[in-house]
Amino acid sequence: MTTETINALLTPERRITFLVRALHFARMNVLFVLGSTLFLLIVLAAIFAPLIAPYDPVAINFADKLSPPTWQHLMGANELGQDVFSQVLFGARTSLMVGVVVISLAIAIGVPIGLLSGYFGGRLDTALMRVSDVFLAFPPLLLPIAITAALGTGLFNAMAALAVSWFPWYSRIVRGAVMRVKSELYISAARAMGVSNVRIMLRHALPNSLTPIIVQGSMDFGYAILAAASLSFIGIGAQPPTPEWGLMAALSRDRFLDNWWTVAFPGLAIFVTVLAVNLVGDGVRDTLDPKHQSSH
Amino acid sequence: MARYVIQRLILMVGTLIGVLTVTFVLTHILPGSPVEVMLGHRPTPDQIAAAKHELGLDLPLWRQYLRFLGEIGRGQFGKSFLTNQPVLQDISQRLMATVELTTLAMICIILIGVPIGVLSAVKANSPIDHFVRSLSVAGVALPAFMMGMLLQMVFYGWLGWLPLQGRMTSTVLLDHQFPTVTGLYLVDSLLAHDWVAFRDAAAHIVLPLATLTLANLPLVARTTRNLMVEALSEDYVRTAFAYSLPRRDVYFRYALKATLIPLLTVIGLTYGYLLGGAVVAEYVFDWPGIGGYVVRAITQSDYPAAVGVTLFLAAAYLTINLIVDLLYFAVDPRLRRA
Amino acid sequence: MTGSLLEIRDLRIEFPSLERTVKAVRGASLEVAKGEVMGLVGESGSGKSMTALACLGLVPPPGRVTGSVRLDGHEVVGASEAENERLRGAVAAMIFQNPGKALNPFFTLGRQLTDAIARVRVIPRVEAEQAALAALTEVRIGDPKVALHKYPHQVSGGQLQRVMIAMALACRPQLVIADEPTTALDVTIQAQVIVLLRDLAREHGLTVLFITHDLGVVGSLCDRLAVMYAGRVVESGPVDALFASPAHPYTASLLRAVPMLGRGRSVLTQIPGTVPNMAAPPPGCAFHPRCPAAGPRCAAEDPVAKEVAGLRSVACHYPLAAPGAAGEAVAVPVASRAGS
Repeated sequence: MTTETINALLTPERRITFLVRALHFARMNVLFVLGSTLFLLIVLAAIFAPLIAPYDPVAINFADKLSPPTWQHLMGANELGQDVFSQVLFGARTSLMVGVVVISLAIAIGVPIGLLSGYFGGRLDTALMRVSDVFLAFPPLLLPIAITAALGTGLFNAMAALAVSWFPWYSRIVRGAVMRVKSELYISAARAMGVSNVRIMLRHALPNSLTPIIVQGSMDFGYAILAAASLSFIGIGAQPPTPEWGLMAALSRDRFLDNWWTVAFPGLAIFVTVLAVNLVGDGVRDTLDPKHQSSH
Repeated sequence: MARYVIQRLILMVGTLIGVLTVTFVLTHILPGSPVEVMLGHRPTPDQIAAAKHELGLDLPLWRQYLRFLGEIGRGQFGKSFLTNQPVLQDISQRLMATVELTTLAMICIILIGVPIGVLSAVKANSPIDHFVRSLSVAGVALPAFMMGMLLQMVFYGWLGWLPLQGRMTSTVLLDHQFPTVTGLYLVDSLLAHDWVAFRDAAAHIVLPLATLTLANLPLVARTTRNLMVEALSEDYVRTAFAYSLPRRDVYFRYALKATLIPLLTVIGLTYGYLLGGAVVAEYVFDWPGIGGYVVRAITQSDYPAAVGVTLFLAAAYLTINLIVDLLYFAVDPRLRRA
Repeated sequence: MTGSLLEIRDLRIEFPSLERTVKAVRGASLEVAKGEVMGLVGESGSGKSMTALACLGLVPPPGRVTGSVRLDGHEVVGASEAENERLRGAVAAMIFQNPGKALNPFFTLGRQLTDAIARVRVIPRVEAEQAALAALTEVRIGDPKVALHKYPHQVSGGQLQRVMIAMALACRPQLVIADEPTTALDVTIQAQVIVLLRDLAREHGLTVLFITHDLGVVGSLCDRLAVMYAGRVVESGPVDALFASPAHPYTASLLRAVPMLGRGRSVLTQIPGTVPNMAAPPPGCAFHPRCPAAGPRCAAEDPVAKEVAGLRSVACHYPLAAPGAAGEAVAVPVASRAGS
């Protein structure tokens, strides 16, 4: 590419139009842009936590015990002298991972079930749907609590519990999409041609459900983080020394009245992260599905 | 209609058996044997064996399951290992505490959330609307336990206006014993004309109530708003205006009725969230309700209690959903068969 | 002009949004005298429905209305909501296009009728109920007493439209604005409803503004006619005169485009092109890109409505042969002969 070509491409008009369009998009979707920026910052913070964090999050240092926010400890220190800021940073890793894992697992379980259920219908469908009903009959949080308690406390078990509790939403979405597609003429045509059931399901039914799954998933991401933090808070999720925001709040609970920073900053971190994720999710939903057809 | 109700009830029983099974399976994978917990200190192997036999824990799992089903069917939920009382009794003692909290929260959420949603919709895209929507988005992001602790910090720690936790101050409870009529402290103390007790109970319920309300308000407000915006764009609203019907009537009777069905669904869902959220709120405020009970039961392998309460809560939740579905028929004439 | 129940002068309705402004009505003027049945004809997008809504101050946000609409002497544009509320139903009542959607599915027909009547005529509910029953009888609904307790979904489209007419009538307005009342109905039912409207109008001495895109309906019902295109009234005048010798090329094209039975074979002539984009209408006369009689002035200058002999007005630089002169004979649509 010669300099002339590049210069021709980057004419003032082009630059302006691109900028104008970008700004216009930003103005129309302020919240989405805000949320995405925030989310990006959080992701970066999580990735570069080891580099940014001034202290090892688990390093105990009784000298700084319960230090309020100072330049030494930007967010103060807890009763073990651990730096809250470092813990918050590493907690970002944990929470982002939780969101990704829970949603992926829920989708991984829910989608095949939905596919089978919707495609084959009949008794398989009824049976699977009744099973889903059972999972949906538990008030939220109760089933995750029970499953986690059964499997043993710990973050991984909590994540598995959440995924197992939530998969019915995804299987319903997929099932609905499959049933809609099943009645289409081109499916009968494909079958008549001898295309295998599996291929039909994967090639036709699945893409149709992609949009609502993405929409649902982007909104559940935030809920997953919240739920995991809540589980950790009541002692069932993450266990020390895992850096998890809910756990941090739980451990410092007894002293938080006089040492607000030990609980406020992890709480703020949860708030900001879930907010960013939800804003992004809203934007995704508005783009893909303007009629707001998901469950929450 | 009766047929529909019966069908639903049968389905419900089936689902509850499923819930039962799941809970049974889960509690039997629980690490830690419940027997040790029950027997307390250093039981001998003989004692353990005897206890296990008494509880039927030495039977093969499937036989335990059947026995379990039979007992539940007869209404025998067994005894809690921790409290050594019948589970049903434990539930009834603690149930009303949760009912008081969650019901009040539900009422507050509806009384505040729906009008806000309507206002937001009527003034769609105005500054008020943007403000309400921003609050809704923000409110959903804050975890309930944080909200609770924040409230504690402000109203107890800084202002000292309200108590930290619990349902009543223990000294007040001792001096002012009022008869239990409903189990709802607010109601019972009023019935007994005990103003001191009432004020104390009220003061204690404010913060957990606020926490549960604030945690679930955004969803209801937001849903109401979105549904109302849609309803307001319907032709029949325009007809109502064309015949000079007063605004308030149009909003709260004509348009709102259209939103009731999906709104009722959300309310049912919110009740579920309340039951779940009650677990966290009860933990934060040390509220002696079912939420705390079930968490303890589950984490400490008290499986009759765990199973009993889970079943109970699931049944309650399903019943709420059934009632909501039945309300659909009352609201939407199109659903009724002439 | 006194004697006009409805007087619209230079009505403009805009819908501004962040990206563009849609000009739904761009200076429409029209008058309806007391007692006459005026038809307002135009394709979808011509602005006729918006004009109707503007008469009662019902243009939805973010619509911006300028110009003048006088209902029985009262100015609607710019008036307060309270002032307009007094006019709605009492001076002018509207009948909407799709009765299935214009009536609330959650309330009985009787309830909706009673609510409207009680409110507009300021009478107690018991009286309003009686009035509702009477109105339903007048619109020839089968079994009015039973109908009062029915819900919209239990009743056919034609019946629903009768209910809407009943609602309008029972409020005892001076003007009835019917916005495409038959468009959503079966053809056979259409005829019934039109006949009903005509009879009722005569009986009660009502003034009617009848909006439609169907010229055939206009022929059988209306005394006068106004033709709208792209947000303006391009021609108006007595129906027979307009049909016999339309002055505006658009009117002529519309008449030619109506399929007719009758002697000989007629060619269905389409109007070439499409309705203009109302966010960016063509310069000058909006019809000029599609006009068979377009001349040099048309692209440059927006034509102003001019009065023409015989109580007619035309907005065109090159109007067709004057009425009475030898010109292209346009056959009158068959429907205008029906149901007289």
